Amino acid sequence: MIESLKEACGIPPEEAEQTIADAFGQAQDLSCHFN
Amino acid sequence: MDKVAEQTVADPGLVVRVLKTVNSAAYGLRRSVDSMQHACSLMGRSHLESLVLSLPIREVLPDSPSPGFEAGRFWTTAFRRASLARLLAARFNPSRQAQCFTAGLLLDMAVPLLAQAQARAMARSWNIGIRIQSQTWQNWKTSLSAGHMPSWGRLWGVPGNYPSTWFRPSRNTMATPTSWSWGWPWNWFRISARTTRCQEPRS
Repeated sequence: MIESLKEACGIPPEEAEQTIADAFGQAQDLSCHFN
Repeated sequence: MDKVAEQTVADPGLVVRVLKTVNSAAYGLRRSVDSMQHACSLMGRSHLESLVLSLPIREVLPDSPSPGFEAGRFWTTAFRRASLARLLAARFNPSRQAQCFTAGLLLDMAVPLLAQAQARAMARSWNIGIRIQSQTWQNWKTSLSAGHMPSWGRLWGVPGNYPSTWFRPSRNTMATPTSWSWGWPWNWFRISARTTRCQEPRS
């Protein structure tokens, strides 16, 4: 996934990793409403 | 934010969800919140917007559309994709954050509907899934994702290939179907079905 972000968006791996972590955190908050 | 709270009050289901959220352990509040204005300000626009967009979708989709379908896994994947789409939009095109979140969330909403409409075929396909994965993947990819994502991207003015990043299968998807990947539909079905047959519904 990090490679994909780097290839498609030009996001450095460190930033990509943080972005993914943030997204997964937000997703966790949201999915708690559905489980 | 007050206007948002006023509009939200019109939907009792949403009020319950919002209050339940802000009073949950995640917020760590000492006193319980019982006012929508207060709750909305605590949640913030982004989180509230996501909740408002998601709930109606959740309500109209079937819980168990097909044997083996895992709703929890499906929603986790959908929210991860939607959240990532919004974060990428915040970087490249901030005015389109809500639309990108919606697009990421809706991308595979056809899957549970198809699973319900074609439950028998889905169960049968899953039972022989390992042999047909390659062809099935190509079919899903063409019909549900890669074909229209670049078009949406162009429509919204997002740069390059980044919409296709929302739905890119990992290289080792075939080898490790248990790992999370961008869009392999069978991820939402029980992995145990690899060795345990799904019961096909009676027609």
